[in-house]
Formats: sequence, structure tokens, C-alpha cells
Amino acid sequence: MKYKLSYYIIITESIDQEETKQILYATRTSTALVLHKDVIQLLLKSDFDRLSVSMLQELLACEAIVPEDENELEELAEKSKLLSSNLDSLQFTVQTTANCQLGCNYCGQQHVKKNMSDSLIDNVIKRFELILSNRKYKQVDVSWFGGEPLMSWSVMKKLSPKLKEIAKNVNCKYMSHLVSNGLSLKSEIYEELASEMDCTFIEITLDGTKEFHDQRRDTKLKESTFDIIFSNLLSIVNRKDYPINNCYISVRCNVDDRNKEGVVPLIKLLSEHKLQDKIRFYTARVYSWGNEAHLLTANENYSVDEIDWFIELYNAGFNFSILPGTNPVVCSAVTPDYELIDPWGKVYNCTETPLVPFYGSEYVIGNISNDITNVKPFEQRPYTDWYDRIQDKKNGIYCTTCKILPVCGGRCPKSWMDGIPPCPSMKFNMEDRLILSYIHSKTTIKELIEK
Amino acid sequence: MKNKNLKKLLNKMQVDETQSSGDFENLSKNLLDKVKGGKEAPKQTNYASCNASSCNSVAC
Repeated sequence: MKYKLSYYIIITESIDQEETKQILYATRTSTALVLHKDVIQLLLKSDFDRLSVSMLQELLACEAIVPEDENELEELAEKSKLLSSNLDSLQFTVQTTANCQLGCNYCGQQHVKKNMSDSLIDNVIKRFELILSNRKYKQVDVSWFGGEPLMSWSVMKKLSPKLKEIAKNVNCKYMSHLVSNGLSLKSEIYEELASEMDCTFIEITLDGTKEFHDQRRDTKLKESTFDIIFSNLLSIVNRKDYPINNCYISVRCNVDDRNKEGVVPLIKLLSEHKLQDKIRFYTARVYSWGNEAHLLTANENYSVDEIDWFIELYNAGFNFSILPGTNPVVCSAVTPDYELIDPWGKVYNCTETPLVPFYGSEYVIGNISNDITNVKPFEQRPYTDWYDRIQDKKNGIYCTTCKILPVCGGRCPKSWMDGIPPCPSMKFNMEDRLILSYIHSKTTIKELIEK
Repeated sequence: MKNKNLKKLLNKMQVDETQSSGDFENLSKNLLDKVKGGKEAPKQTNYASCNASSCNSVAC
């Protein structure tokens, strides 16, 4: 069989003083290999016959070398399409409330005091049961989303045992997770989420230390929130039984140019409280939520700053990999049965559109307030032709020629439809990630910094 | 290499680094061993595609 070098590879500059070693990253399998520069040259000339057998086997295994006649984009897209339509795990999001205490200045949602009614709760339960009876799933992950879901704690408490029971009846593993601002996340609430509601993780947001966070994540009455949220976090992670049932707290830090100076102080604060092994931490660039928030950050600046934050995290003792996994299923929206139900019973297949005035009725795929079958079939939902769209350059989606497509997947079909390329930081800093990963694999960053 | 601090780190490391033996190193495997070999580190994610963090979940 004849072979060619895969289109989906990234090669770094030399990583040693003698300039003999480079890293080759095959994004189709997310495999990074450290290779001699002579090997790299052979690969670039497609002179595969001069490679050793073991080298050739390794390069074939990681799909850095592929059959010469393979249309790689088509192969990737068609595999993803097949996988997306045959997932054995289901996502189901319940937006239990449209209410939230906070008035974050980059949020696109419009909040009102509206929780799910009892009659809608009944219909959510019936809809969930219908979905699980139509297709066999091995596991289901229920996402509690808002607004601020804990402002409808009573709704969650009514729904959770029923949803669990339905999953159990069809022999489907049940799990859930919560996306919260953290303000009401008291230790006893955490305990109930982890022990009774099968929560596998809870995500809260801290946008830097107090001076940065309180500038942008204050309440609608302009009250500070950092101290309460941080105190809640410490109460939970300092419990003797934490993490209950392996339910970890994830701390997300939304970043734009206004608070980027607050990231390193936050990492230091978290490490001073010895949270390195107790929480997940990551930064996310603020992007458009039906608004112009994406204009607050230059993506290329963010991608350079992010490497500094990774170095700081390693220096502080956080232990994680900055190389992504492959991402064959870009988003729940492209899967056949994913649904989000809002507090009025409207159904969506995207978490970013409900409660956001910018997005109109064309994004609504159903309404189960009166009839639980009133939901559009998969083919009529937005974004579901994603894997066809990325195969055609005429659609103006850069993914068609992007080398990180296998590890990115295109990131957000909705954002592309909005005309805002959602390209992630790794598109701009993958080479730096590879080099930092190499350093991290060889030594201790802390010791290196202190030299 | 776009990040200046990363460049400094690499330069510092190169003084100590000796050539590795063999044809190649599988960096991904080394990293996996290192991450798993540490303390009970929680899984980390490095990007979020949406505000609901469904990229942290099973389907994504």
C-alpha cells in the first residue's frame, strides 16, 4: 500500500540545543512524538522506505502516515457523523429556572423570576422517559443549568429522584452535573448533590481574585460575591469526606482583557489553600453569548497568556495534561436525542440560545408544556448537518482546512452560524503546548523556574 | 514559539538535558504516565465550548 504524510500533523521547531529534536503531533489521534530532525525531513519528503520498521509502525498507528488515496477530511467527518448518531450515552439538560442572582456583565441571558411549574416538571419526567424508551442508552448525564439552578433547588429535588428511577428502570447508568455561580452552593447542598443526585462534578466560576471577580460577577443589586463563593468552595473541599462519590468541584475562570491580570493571583490563592489536588481549574475566553462579549479579548493574546497560566499552574503543583483528546463529537447538538428544556417547556438542542433575547424562535425545536411529543425530529433541528457543512469550503467554515480539526471538532456550530469563528486557543498555541508538555514530561517546572 | 517565558524555560532545561536514546519518544505516553503517576489528580479540561460546560461531559 502507498502512504502519504497526514494533513493533520503539526511539527514544532527544534526543542534541544543541538537542534536535532522536534515534536510531531498527529491530531487525528492526539499523539505527540519526539523525533530526530532527519526523520522529520524524511517524512516531509514522503521518503518512508528509509524509516525503520518500528518507526513506520508507530507513525501508522498514530495516523501521522495514512493511505495515499484517503480523503482525510471526508474520513474524519463521516466517522464523526456515524459516531454522533450511535452514541451510547445521552445528554439531557434541564434549565430549571430563568432566575439568577448575578448580573455578570458579559452574560447574554435575560433573567426573570420563573421556575419550572409542577405540571411542567411532570412533563419533563415524561419526556425523559420517552427518550430513554425510544433508544437504548448505557448512561445518561443530566445537566442542571440555568439561570442559577440552585435558585430552583426545590424543582431539582422533585425532578432528580424521578429521573434516576426512570434511568434505573431501563438499566441505564445515571449521572448528573451542575453548572452554578457558587453563591448558594453550601456544604450541605454539595453533600446532597453528590450523595443523592449522583453529581459527578459541580462547576462554579471565579473570574480572578476578589478585586477582579467582583468587578464583573456582582449581583444584580451590585453586591460583591467573591468572598461568599470562595468561602463556600473552602467549606466543601475541606470536608473530611470530600470528594463525596468522587464529585469534584471545577473552577472556571472566564477571561477577557479586563480581568486577565487576575488569573495568576487566583491560581496563587487556590494553591495557598492547597487546592491543587482537590479541584479542577481552567480558564475560558469570554465569547459571544448573543452579544458582543467576544470583542473584549484578542484571541491571539489570550493564547499567549494561556501558556503563562499553564506554567503557573504547573509551578503551583496542579497536575494535568494540556494536550487535548480527540473530539469526534463536537457538541451535544449534533447527537440525535440531545434536548434542553427551559422553564416554560420550550425545547432547544443548544445551551447557548435559551433565555438569550438575541436568539429567536427559529432556535426552538419544540414545546412540551402541553404535549410531550411536540418536538422536531433530528433532521429538522439546527446544526445537525454539521459534518456535511464542514466538508464544503463554500460554507466559509475554516475547519475545512484546519489541522486541529480532529482535536477541536469545530468547537461550536452555533457560533459559526452567527458568523463568529469560535476557534479555540489551541489553534494558536498548539506548538507552545507541545513544547511545554515536553518540558513537563522531562522535569519539574517548579524546580526549573527556581534555578 | 510565541510565549517568551516558555522559551526561557526551554533554554534552562536544555543545559541539563541529554540526548534520548532510540528512534523516538512517545511524548503522549510519557505525559499520561506522569499525570497518572502523580497524586490522585482530578481530570482537567483546557477549554470549554459553551457556558453549560457540556464539553466536560460524556457526549463531548
